[in-house]
Amino acid sequence: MDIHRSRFVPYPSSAINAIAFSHQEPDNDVEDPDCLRLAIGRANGNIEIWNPCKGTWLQERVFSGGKDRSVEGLAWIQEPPTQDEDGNVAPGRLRLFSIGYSSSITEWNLATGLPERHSDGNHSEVWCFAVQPKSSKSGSGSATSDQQQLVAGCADGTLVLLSTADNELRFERFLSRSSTKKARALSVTYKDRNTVLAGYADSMIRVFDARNGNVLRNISLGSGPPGGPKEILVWKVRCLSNGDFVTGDSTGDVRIYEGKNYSQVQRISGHEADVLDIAVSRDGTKIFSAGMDRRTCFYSCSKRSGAARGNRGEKWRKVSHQRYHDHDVKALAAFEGNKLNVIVSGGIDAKPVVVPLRQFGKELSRGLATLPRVAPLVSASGARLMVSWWNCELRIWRVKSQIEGSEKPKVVARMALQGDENITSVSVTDDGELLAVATASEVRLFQLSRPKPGSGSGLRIRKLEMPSKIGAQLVRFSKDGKWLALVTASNDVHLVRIVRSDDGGRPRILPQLLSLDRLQRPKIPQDPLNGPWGSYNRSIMHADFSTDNSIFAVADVAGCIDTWVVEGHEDSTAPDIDVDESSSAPSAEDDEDDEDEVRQERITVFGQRWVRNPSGHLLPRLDSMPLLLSFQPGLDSTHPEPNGNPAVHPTRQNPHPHSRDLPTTDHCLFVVSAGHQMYQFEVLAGRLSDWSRRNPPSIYPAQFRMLQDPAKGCVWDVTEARQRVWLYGERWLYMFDLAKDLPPPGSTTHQLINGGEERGPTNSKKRARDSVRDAAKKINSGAGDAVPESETPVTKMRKFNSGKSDDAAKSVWIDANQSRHAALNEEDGEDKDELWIGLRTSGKEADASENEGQQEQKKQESCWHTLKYRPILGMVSVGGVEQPLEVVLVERPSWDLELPPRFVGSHE
Amino acid sequence: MPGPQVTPKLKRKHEGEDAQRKKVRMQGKSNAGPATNGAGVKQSSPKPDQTGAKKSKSAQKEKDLSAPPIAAETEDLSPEASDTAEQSGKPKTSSKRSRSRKEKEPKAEEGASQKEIVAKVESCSTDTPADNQTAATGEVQAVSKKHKKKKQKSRNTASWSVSAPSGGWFLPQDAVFTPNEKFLITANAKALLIYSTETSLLASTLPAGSGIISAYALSATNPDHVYISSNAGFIILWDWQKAQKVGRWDIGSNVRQMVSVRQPDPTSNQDLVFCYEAGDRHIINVHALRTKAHDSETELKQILKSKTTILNLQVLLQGKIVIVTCANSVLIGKRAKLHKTALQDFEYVWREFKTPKRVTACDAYVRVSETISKSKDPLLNPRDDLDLAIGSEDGVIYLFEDIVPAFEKAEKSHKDGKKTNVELDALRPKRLHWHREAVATLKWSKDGNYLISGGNETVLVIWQLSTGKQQHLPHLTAAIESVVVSPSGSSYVVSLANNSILVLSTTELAAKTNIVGIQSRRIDLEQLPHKNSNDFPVHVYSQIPMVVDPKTGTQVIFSTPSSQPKHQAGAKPLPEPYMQTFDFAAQRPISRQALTRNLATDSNIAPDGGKILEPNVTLLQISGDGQWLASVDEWIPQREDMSYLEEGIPEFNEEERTFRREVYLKIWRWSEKDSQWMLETRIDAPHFLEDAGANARVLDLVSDPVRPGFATVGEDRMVRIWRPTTRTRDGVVVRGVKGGARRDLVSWSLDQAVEFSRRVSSTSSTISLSSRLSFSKDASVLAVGVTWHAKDDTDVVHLIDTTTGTVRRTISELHTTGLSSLAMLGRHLIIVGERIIVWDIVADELVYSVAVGFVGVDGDRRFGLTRLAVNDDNGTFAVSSPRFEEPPKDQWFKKVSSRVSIFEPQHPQPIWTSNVPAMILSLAATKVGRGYVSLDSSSSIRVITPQATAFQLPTPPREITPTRLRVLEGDEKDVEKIGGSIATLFGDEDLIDVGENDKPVVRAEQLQEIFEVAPSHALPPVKDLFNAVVDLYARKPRDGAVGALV
Repeated sequence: MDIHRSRFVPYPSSAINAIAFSHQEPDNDVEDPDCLRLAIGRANGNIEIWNPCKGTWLQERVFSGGKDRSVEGLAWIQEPPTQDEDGNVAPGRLRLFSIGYSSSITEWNLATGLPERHSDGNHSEVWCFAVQPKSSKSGSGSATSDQQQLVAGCADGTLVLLSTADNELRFERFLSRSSTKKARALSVTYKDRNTVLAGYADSMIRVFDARNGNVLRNISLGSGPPGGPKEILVWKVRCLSNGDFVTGDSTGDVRIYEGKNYSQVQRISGHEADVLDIAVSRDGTKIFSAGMDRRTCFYSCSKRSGAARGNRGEKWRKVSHQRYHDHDVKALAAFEGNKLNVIVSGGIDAKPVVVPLRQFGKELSRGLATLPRVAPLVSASGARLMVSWWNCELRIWRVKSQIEGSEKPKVVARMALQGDENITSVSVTDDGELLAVATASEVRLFQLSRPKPGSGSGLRIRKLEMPSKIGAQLVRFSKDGKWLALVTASNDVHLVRIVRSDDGGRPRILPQLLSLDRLQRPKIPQDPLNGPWGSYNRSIMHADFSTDNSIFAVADVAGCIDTWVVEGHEDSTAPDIDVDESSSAPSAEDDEDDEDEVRQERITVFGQRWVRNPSGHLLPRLDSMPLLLSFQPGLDSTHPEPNGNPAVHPTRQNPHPHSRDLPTTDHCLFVVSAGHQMYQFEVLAGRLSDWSRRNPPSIYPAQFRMLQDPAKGCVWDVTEARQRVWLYGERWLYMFDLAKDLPPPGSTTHQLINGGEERGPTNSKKRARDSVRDAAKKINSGAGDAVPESETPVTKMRKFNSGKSDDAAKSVWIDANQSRHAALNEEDGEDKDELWIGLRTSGKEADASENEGQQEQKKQESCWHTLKYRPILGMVSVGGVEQPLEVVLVERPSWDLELPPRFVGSHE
Repeated sequence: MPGPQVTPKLKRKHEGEDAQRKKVRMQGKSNAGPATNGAGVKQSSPKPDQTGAKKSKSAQKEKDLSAPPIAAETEDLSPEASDTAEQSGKPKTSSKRSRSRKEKEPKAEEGASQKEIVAKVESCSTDTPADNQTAATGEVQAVSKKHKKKKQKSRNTASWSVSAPSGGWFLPQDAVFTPNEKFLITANAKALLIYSTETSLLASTLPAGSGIISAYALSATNPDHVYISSNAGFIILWDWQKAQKVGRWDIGSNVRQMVSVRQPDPTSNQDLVFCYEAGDRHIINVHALRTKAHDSETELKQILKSKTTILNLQVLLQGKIVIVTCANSVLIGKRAKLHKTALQDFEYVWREFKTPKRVTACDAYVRVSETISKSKDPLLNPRDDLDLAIGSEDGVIYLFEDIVPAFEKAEKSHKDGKKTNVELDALRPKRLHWHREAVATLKWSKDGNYLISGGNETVLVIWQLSTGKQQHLPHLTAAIESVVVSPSGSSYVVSLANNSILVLSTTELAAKTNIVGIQSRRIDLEQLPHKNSNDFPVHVYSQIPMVVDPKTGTQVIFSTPSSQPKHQAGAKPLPEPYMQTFDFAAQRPISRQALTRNLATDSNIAPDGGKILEPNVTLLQISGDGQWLASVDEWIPQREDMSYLEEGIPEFNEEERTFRREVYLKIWRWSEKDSQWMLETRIDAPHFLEDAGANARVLDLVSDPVRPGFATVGEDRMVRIWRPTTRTRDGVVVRGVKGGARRDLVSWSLDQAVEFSRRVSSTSSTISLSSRLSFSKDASVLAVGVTWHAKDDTDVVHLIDTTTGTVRRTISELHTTGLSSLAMLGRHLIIVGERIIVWDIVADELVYSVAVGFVGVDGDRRFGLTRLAVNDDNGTFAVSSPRFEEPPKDQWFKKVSSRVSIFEPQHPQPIWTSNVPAMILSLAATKVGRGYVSLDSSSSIRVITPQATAFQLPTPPREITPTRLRVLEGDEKDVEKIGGSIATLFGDEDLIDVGENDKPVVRAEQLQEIFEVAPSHALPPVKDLFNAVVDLYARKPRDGAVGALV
């Protein structure tokens, strides 16, 4: 395999401006909520929905934004639970709101990923907003009183109350009008359901009664430190569970106030510069602050009662701080569940960092992927073109093969889309002639043609008219470029037939859209994300055509796979569009597609018609979200293609005849789930392939199971001798040969694969330790591993009496970190199937696997890996089918990101 | 020493089943007579039965010593002092109480059944202070006489003596404030030093007696009492106000640290002393040391035995809590059975925790709850709120708040075998990280709201815990070794690594007291690299440039490093950019001045994190009139800094470093006004290697004894003579106000340059390894001695005629190598290398050649270890040679000492020889007393003086007068005494007045009367005016003054 290791793709990072967890606390005492999601808002307007999912941290959806639509704040509310006729209580629906640089608040439709509604109101830009806490007793009052209101603080100092009742978002009233000074309201929060605290840019905190708008208290922070501005900016106000509240301000101080009389209790300076956000633990004994000096500080409250300090109220102490980020930290969000208890922080360096909450200082932090989970890269391997995109821009490179010389890939086209919507998906045909670009509002089609010799290397781009203006979240070309699949925001699947002439003329696009129906799945029980208002889980994430274009498959968040096959053969003599309106008549074939609703029309294009895969319902639902879906390229079959559809002629009874021939050769669909389980389906047969059955996840290489970063994509390398798939994640590259079985555990090859150092008689010991580490990983808080012992302040302790001095020898050492280990081991048994638990992989292992011997082995071994490349933006193949595999691997190292200059500590 | 008395040294025999319980018995003195027996001691009357004691003592003395007694009274040396020869070789300047002699202890008394240790307790004598003082002086003389006799049995020539060392480093233990904060108690190896905090002056000294002081502690019950332990295994209780010994116990082990607390029993008013005793095992014992009537209660109890070295011991709440810090763990001991206060009921429950990083500092604080303290005695409250702060080697301070319950919780969960996830919040310490390097010291403030820490950064950091704010006091002159908070909390005592102690007020952080010791290079054998790891550490024994200031004759000037932290590992020689002036007569430092650029306020860390080194003053000389000081400093980049240029070839590195070497000759002028040396001229690269294009090292510097001028010799085989020239501009002398007074501006420039050829036979380097210079007394001849790199080239001495600047004679017949010193004494040239060679220049012949007595060092290593000084006044010269005792183990030496010999150029036999228990790093002749001054590796200065010349101690013995300390003690009798003396003074009032009114007092009015009687045109004749003025001034002073007043 030739690898073009490249860093030229200028994928710009986008700062994280807002982070919000969908739940503040677990619903019950035992389990963390299943539908817990994390929303991250970025400066480019994208909102990412992450699923913490027991510490795996998976980016599920991206709601694309657009130009100048920075997300400045995010908040979730949950509707009160509803009761249906049977008395079953269904949990209330989750709703997500965001603010940007505008005067409106936007609600997002979680199922479609599109803005649902905007609030209106005659006020200036919203700088901050907060959600009213849920009423403590459910069902105590009327429905409206259970509703959570929103309060928004504006640039002129007004506070606005918005109602979310009746599934709406309406302006309710002004809580306070702008003051004469027009000081910005920088932060706002609810102390309880009726008290609102707001921090302003004029060193003031004001307390309002939300019911009548009365000002309960004005708290001044005094003037700023000498030498700086006079006014202190109160960047953040947060409430503790006991009613006390905390502010973070531009002096870098964290101040703690008493909730009853609103007096300042303590002031701790932990930062060298502005504190931008604060997070608190559920029990109100821990405070985290982060700010412009890149520090994340941790303060704890000593519960010492009756001690001398208690009298003075100075019970908060700064415990420690750490720098997790390379730039300003702008947002913090805390979730403290029973198992998962983390702080997620993000800032200008675009990297979300998960920090343990209860275990702060005892567990390491974990940096989540900075780059998008789905690589913004596609290639036309036949034409050696590579396309990358970000925001509204798109760039096309031509990659010369390494044999032709070490010439760098050259940009052959740059495009900036009109309109301000961000690009959601791009597809290009294998021969590089057609390019489809999707945004949320429109899909655009372009013809790329090679320039005449001598007129430069740039591509000629011609826009093609699409038959209808329809937005899409996903576009895919079939391999021959005749079909273009569109997946709309509402998860409808459409196909567009493109008629291409061989002489390179202008392709013709048939005006009729073919709609493909997805299999109705048994009703998923209503939960906060899925309900009658829309199903988040049915959002389609992946789509692919098989290599001979006869099968099309999509997969959704829930792990369901839908497949369609093409009936008949292409018949250029047949009418291009043949609409059968009358197919409402029950036909046997239609009926066997069980419980399908009756279709209005059936469309046959050039004698071909897409039908649902007859054995599609046999494909099981995956254990978790699919990470990638790809058809394995088959070797060229020698089956003669019949020209057209013999013996299909329109007759009177059957004016719209079509062939019922289904493709004969079966295709293998390769799917990797979020649990890092690899599935290989034989689609037409509707079953798992033999390889998949022979190789259950339990015999996957241990290091593969330990990987933390989810798989992002794959590249196939299929020849007579091998069926290799190259999987990659952000920091790893793994090869599996599907023609060979993985070595069974215990065999020598297995050990070899599982790590270069794991050889010889020490093997068993290492393995034992591995499993311990595995176990340790399992019960942690959701962030990184436990801090190594050499970094902990206390390793072990013991107790002995001086009475018998010999006692000292006998006394037992207690491991200071032991209680945690014990807790972990207990849970070990339950989670056997929980494979997607990685360990921090060290660079050492990467190097070990780099050596020559390993390179040799990969010729024969059924799997191989490297951790050399990081972080990988994407990997696509270039070069024709006949040539040996050649890929472009694009890295996007963090030091290469162009971050704005820092205000604080830029000299470091 | 014919010590007639034998002390039965009682040692620990066996530690049986009852071993912890030791009985320490007090032994009455057999010959002290009834007056000093138990009851008499108790009375402790100020007028004791002196005569009896005196009589008996003088009788003893006459028995012991044949020399006639000079003083009225003397005493026998203490038995342990007589054990060590070096000790006895020095006169005891310090007062020593006469002590009753011990008689042989009957062995039977040890009690056959009990295998116990019997520590010996001596009771103090009952001398009055005044008596004591005379005894001290007398004793000193007697002892020196005696010593002299001993040393010079074989010789009949003039006798010499070595003074007691002055200076020395303060012990690394925390300094102790007296409770009223008037005095600060610290110690060096030889004596306990009591400084007054108001004046920063030494108020009193308590001698260690024998051995070396290892620890001291102020008594918790009586602030006048201080416990001093020595490495000889004694604990001595002194009354430091009266300078009396109160008790003495032989505990037979090496006490490294002592803490004294009041016994928790409310009825008792007695001390308990917690001692950390190091040996094979590290033990903490609690001693109840009792004197007098309670002597039978003297006992001890072992509370901890550890395998690892204990760094620090802290005792809180009268022994209820004991904190022990080891290298990698901290132990917290809580006393069980709080209601039982007897010593044998002291049982501790120890909790130990391990830390992955080395603990370098630790301090604990107990918060006494206000509510509880009202109702209950805090000592009996089983729960206490213990906050522990730990400084670790990587600069982090960990703060554990209320740590004990966290332990209990962990133990409980461990015991229960519960698998619940215990949130050990208290075991998640607060992390305070500012220090870049190890935290050297850490203390809580008295109120527990602040932490004070310090380290190598020379910054005192004050952490306010509740706000997280830090306060810094930067740019202290040296690394901080320890910080102590005074008893009232109003000041911090900061001990710095340059042997000085600073008392700062806590409010404005202003220095109130500054105590400085001798800061010269100190060599701690334990810090030298291990034998197998490195080369012979010869550089640490290189000469310290030192000169005697001829202006005073009693001040020496020597170069000092800026900071010598005790934790600093490795034997890399520290550069010495400063000079210190020390008055060896007054025994106090005069001033300190930087001679080169230094890093006191600059950044001292390179961008790569390495340390930046200062230039090193290698040579110092002072002109004969004391007005000019010449210094040579040298700076060369560190090897690591050049590694990026070396391309893997070490020679390149050397070459690049040589190329970047900076050498300056600086001439300083004494400024009377500022009392410091002002830089007059800086000569860059006084010597230059043409072929290498680099500054050449200056190998020696001498001062012209006749007129201002300095001669240097460099690696480039040149001798250059530098002389001042009065600056002129167009023939007019330029005058300036430089240096305060208006005077001629002088610039120094090269006067003569003489090149001496290398040996023809030499095939090796043209650079001489070492050269030495010496002027003859009339400055007509300058001798240059040269040693070559090649072994087969013997040393040569060139004699240069300074008037013509030519080499007149080359003495190559010396047949010696490794020349390390050269001097001219009259007509003799003295060359010290492998041998001591005296050459008569006039006769041009060898007078004699004797071998230098090197001990424990051979071959090349001997080079540069000898010191030579000549004293023209009495025609002698002194040579010091090293004596190394090499132990078999991995260390270089066990003990290093020097032998000083005084020679006369006529006789190859030294007229006097003595051993000094430290390596002499510098030796110089003094004008006063015609002797020599030595500065040694323990930073002590000793004066060697001939006894025959009307011997006077160069340092008058410090008067330990009780009146000086009376401020503390409201002793009525003393006050009366003062009153009496004042009265007598008043009686002499007339005398005083006469003495003071020597000059007639002429007041302005009187002159006015003469001159302003009329306007200028109507004045009387000038003659009349003149006479009137003369009358005014030439009258009899006293009468005139009176008349004027009348």
